[in-house]
Amino acid sequence: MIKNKRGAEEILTVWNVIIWTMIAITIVTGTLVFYSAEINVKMYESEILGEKIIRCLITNNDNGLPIIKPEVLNEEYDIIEACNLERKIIVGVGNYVIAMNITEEGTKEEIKRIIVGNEVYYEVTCNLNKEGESKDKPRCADRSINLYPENKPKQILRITTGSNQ
Amino acid sequence: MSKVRDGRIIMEKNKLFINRKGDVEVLNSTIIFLILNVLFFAGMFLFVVEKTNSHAVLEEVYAKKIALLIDNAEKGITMNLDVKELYEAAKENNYPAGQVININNEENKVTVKVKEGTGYGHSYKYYTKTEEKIFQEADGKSYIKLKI
Repeated sequence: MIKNKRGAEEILTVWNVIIWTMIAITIVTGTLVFYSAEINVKMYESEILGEKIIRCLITNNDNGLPIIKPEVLNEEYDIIEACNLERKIIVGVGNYVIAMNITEEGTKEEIKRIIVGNEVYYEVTCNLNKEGESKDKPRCADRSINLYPENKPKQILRITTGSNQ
Repeated sequence: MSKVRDGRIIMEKNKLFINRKGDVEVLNSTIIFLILNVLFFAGMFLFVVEKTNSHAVLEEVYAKKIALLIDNAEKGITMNLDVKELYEAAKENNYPAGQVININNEENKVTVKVKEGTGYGHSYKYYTKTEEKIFQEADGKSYIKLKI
C-alpha cells in the first residue's frame, strides 16, 4: 500500500486508474467483438444452391438411376433460367458462382461444362477458403454424382457452387 | 490500522472516533475509492446489458433464416415460421408488427426490422426467382406464413 507524507494509506493512485482502464478496454472490446460478429451462412447458401442445381439437372431413368436431363446437353441451355434462379443476383452482383461439368468415366472426356457467376471464385478463391479460414472470402460446396445413361459408359457430374454474400 | 514494532505487526483497536488527520484522509479516500469502484462496475454492467439486449443479432438471424428458407423451398410450398421472438422485440420498441418482416420481390431481399430509425434492420438477398409475389400473412403475435 502506498502511503502519503502523513503516513495515511493512499488507495486512489494512478495505478488504480490504469487498472480500471485496462478492465474497461477488455470488457468493451470483448463485448463489441462478440456482438458485432457476423453470422456466416455462406456455406449453407452454397450447399442449398448446389442442391437446387442438382434437382434441376438430373432426372431418373426407367430403372430409377440418375441421368442428366437431355436438354442440359443443348448448346443454348441456360442453367439460370432452367433452375429458376434470379439472374441479377447470381450474375449481376458477382457474389455467386455455379460451375458444373460432366465427364465420362474412363476416358475422362468432358461432355458438358457450364460456369456462370464469378468465375474467379471457381478458379482461385474457393480453393483458398476451403475450411472457412476467412469470413470475407467465398465458401464453396462441391458435389459429385454418378450418372447412368442408357447404352453409354457411366458419367460423373461435378458441381461447385459458391457464395460470398 | 497497524504498527510495526520490533519487526512484528501489531494491530491497534478499531477507532470509533476519527481524531487524527491521517485517519480522516484514509476514510475519505476509501469512501471515494469505493464510490468510484461502484460507479465503474455499474457502468460496465450497464454497457454489457445494453449490448446483450441489442436486437441487431435477432434481426440478422431472422433475415438470413427467411432468405435461406425461400432459396431452399420448392415452388408452390407454404411455410409457417415461428417469429414470436421478433414480434416481442418489436412490441418492446413500439414498432408496428406489420412492418417487422418485409420481403421485396423486385430486389429479392428480405428485411427484418424491430426498431424505428435509420441504422436499424438487417437485409439479406435470396437468389430464387419468384414469378409471383411471395405471399406473406402474419398474425402479428407469433407466426408468419410464406407461400413461395
